[in-house]
Amino acid sequence: MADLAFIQKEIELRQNLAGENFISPPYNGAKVFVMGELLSAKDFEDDNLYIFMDSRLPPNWQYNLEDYYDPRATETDVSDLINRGKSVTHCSRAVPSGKNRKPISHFCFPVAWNLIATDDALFRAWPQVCVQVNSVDDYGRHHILGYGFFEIPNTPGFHKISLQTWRPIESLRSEIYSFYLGGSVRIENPWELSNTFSFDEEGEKSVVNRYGLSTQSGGSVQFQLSVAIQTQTELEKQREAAKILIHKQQSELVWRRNEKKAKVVVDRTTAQYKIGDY
Amino acid sequence: MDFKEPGDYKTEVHFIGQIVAGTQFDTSAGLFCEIHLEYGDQWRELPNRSEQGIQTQTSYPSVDELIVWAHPIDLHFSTNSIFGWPKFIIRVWRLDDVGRIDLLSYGVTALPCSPGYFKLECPTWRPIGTWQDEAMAFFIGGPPRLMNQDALTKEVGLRQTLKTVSSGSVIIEIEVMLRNFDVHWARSQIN
Amino acid sequence: MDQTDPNRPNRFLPKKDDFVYGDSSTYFQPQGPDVTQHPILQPEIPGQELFDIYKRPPSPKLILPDDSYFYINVSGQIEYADFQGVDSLFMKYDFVAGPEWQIIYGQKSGGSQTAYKARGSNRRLVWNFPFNLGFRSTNLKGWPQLIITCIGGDFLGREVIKGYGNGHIPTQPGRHERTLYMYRPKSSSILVNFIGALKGKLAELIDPPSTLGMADGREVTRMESGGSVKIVFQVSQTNMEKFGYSVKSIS
Repeated sequence: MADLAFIQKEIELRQNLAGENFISPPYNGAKVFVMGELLSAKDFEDDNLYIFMDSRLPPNWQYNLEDYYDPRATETDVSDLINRGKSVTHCSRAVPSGKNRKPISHFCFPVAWNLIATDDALFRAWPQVCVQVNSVDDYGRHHILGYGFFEIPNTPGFHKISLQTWRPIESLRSEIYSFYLGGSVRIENPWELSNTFSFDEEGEKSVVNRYGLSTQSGGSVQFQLSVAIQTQTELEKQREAAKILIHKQQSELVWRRNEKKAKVVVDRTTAQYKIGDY
Repeated sequence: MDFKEPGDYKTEVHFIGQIVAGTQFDTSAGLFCEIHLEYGDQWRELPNRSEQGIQTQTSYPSVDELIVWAHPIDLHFSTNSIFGWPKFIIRVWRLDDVGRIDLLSYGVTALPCSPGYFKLECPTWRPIGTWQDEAMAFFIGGPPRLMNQDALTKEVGLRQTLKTVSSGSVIIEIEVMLRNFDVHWARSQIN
Repeated sequence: MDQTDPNRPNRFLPKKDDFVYGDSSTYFQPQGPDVTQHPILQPEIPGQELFDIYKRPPSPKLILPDDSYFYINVSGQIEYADFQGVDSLFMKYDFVAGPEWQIIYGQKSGGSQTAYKARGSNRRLVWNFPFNLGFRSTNLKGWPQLIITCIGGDFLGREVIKGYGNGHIPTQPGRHERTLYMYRPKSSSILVNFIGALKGKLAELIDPPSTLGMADGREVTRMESGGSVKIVFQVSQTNMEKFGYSVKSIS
């Protein structure tokens, strides 16, 4: 019964002392907070790099806007940073670093998302981030150095993610043009890269087959992300456990009462027997 | 799963993984690995006790001397006691280009008992004989073997008189999943 | 047709064999109003319902229909390959699982693009090929495995198998990075190997997913090792605690 008292005390503590000021999670589902930064880009062919970043949400995920319309939010909570769709970083020149003297460009571009998801959306698919790395040189020539994407990690905690990138190549002629004049072979819709199925002629879902596309590896992009998840499931579990224990406690009280009654009856009968016994 | 029967509360353990590779064996011949399970009396292998052990493909080393087996392991045990947790008894065999098959080395490793992913590196050894035995093994084949396999796990005291030389290591990746251990008050990790 | 024509028949084309559970192909037909939307976050725009009827149908509810299974969702990408002495590769992947497992959504096979090595210091072949599958089962035996076939060009540019690899999906939920080590079949004799190299038909497995996944009869094969492929897995599970497994699920 110590368990029951402990759980009841926790629930009371939450109601009385913790109060209602902390912004609560939704009833069905979870609030997910992702904070981090795009740290750096390593090992690319060119020097002055800038990165385009885009994010998209799978079905049943939404941007959490209710926390902004909450009367308890102050002005400093509002920022242009949170829940951005597309962003682009500054242009950063690479320097050699590490014992292999590989070129690395530092960005430290902050990213943050506040999201709400339903339970099966949390299970099925998490938001994805797509990245395109470009470079510009002194003559004003732009090149695309790589495309990459990743899915936000689904466990709370600190995650260091290293994205590998590739860029499409067409023929020797287009490479020569690109080298002297700038410009690169582009992918029309970079989100196609993260699709896990394609549609065939009848509109049915089918396999993804990229045979025929030739690509060349680019460098890698480093992200650091912290993920926090706020749900009500712990509370629900505690409530259920409390219910079970209360049920157990009551049934035990009933049993004890019955035992006492039975004992009293037995004592009376034995007492009578004892009086007459000598 | 609302209606549970006593069989649903049986303690079970799953080992899922693969025998990844062998490293540092210093040979250009083909190697394969044979693994026997050893477990206590209270343990039962599901669905049936396997008559033969696990045997991998014969692999030849790569440029950086890694011998890749990548043999999947999927074991399911039901148990009444933590005593006798399963062990792997590993034997590495060699197949050279003239077709001889020799037992190269032995190794023993106990499987982890907490849930999660583990990368085990099991070093192996083989017994040494006299210089005549070693010379014969070099030219003709047939390196010395253990006469009594009990020296591996059952009667470890027999190893006192054994002289061995180290051989390569076998890398095994295992993921352990425990079922119903908390119902029986058994704990194998800090939580 | 030369070797670079993308329209030529590809004998390594993955088969279209998909079992999708609960999701119908009503992409192009208008739907009724979606009742699963969050009540607060819908902005009130007059006439919005005229646009809503063309939305895609919502994802199926996995958890409610059948409580007697546990569900696993695996997503991730096949990131890159590390091969020495190989200039370009494309890969084909397959997911195999035991007889009690069912795939409820997702494509269990796919083919990637041909990746070339960079000129600079990054000597990896990067594919970044995504996958997202859902499995359900009642028994852990036959945990799903990923089988990868890497195909590249030989000295004349004909496509040959450069390696096979296999590995289990991680059992713990969360993000995991795994490396699969690759191996390719070795011919039974030097003469067969030489003639095969000239003809462009080296030894290969007939049906890699079943041979490598079942591990039945693998003991008679001989393989040469070489290369590795790195994969990022992201696993989530539901309903495992009801079966008694002490693994924490996400929500």
